[in-house]
Amino acid sequence: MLELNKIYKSYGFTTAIDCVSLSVGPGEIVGLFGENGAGKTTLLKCALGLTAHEGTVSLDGEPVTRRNIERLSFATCEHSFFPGLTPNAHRDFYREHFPKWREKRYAALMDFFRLPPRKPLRSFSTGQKNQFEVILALSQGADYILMDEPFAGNDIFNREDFYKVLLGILEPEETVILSTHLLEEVENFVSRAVLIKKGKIVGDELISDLEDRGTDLMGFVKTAYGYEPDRVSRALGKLTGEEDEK
Amino acid sequence: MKRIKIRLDRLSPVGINAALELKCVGAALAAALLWGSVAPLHIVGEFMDFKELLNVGVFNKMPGFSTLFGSALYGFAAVITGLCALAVWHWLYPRLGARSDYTLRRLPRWSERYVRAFAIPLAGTVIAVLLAAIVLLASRALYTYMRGWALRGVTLPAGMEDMYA
Repeated sequence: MLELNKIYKSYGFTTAIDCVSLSVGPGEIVGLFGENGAGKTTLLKCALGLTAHEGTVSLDGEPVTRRNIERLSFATCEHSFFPGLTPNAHRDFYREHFPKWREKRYAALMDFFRLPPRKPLRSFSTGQKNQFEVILALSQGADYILMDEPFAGNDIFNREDFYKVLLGILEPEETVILSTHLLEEVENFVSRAVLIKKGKIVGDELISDLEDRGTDLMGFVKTAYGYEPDRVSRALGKLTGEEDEK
Repeated sequence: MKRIKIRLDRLSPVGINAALELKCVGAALAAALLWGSVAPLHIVGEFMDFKELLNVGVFNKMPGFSTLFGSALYGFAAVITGLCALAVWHWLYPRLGARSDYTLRRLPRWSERYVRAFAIPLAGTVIAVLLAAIVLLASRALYTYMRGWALRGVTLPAGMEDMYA
């Protein structure tokens, strides 16, 4: 169980994360949703200890330290690979540092995405870089895989296929926390949706519960965010009115 | 051989050739040592001239150690400054073009990030300081010996002893 307890993070006078508590159990696939600047990325970085924060993060009751950090992996759209290295060199590096490295999964995913194994990452396209970032996170052998907008810049076919592959390869005890804007695409992939707004969790529901209530992920997000359906028509009406006055 | 290369590559940021960096640092240290070794030669040359002047009865003031040693340590100072800049560059390198520092900060081996950033600059600085100290001590010893040699058998005029103390 990955537990974030009363996480607080501010940048100067701006509060990025405001006393957030979240527990994620083994095998869950959690979607972390929210508008730009809501605090999704910051929350993931706090969980990994990549940014200083208040509050505690624990893994099965133990604080996250060097002893258990290998149980967490991270794929970020900022890219955490080494641009000068080839995929093969990355494999050697990860194999040396992460004893649970999943060689078979790495090879299968490299094959699936058709990535060149002997070209430096810096020569890859943005889409290929994203794909490799995700491959590393999935192959590290971590129990908790944190992904922050992993497919920003990838085409829809790649994304859809990838989610299908991911569902097929994940083992029951593997947990994914996925931060994304692409609600419709991950609706059939995630088992739980956590909504974050202005650094606070404003909704946390299992997808199965939503289905039982006859709603979907988009409906849930719109309700939690207080989306106004007539916003566009009102704005257009106002603009058209202004035009008429002129 | 491959094993040695892998071990060696752990001394520099991921993606940078450690062997090449070590060669560059070695070359810079050698150049600094070469520059520093000019000082002893200068000391010997000056005292040879000085001895000749004494022999013909010209009693000039003997040049001081700092005057003769001059800029002998400038080379080492330049190398150490360069190594400090190298350390800063090594530290920032994982943030250039990507955020690979995120990976380094998640490694079970906590020292990896620090070793890769600072091993070569630190080792280079230690060697530079040691070499500078050796050059300084050797030059000082040479200066003392040469002064004794220059004054040997010379009868100084009255009142000039203090000048050569």
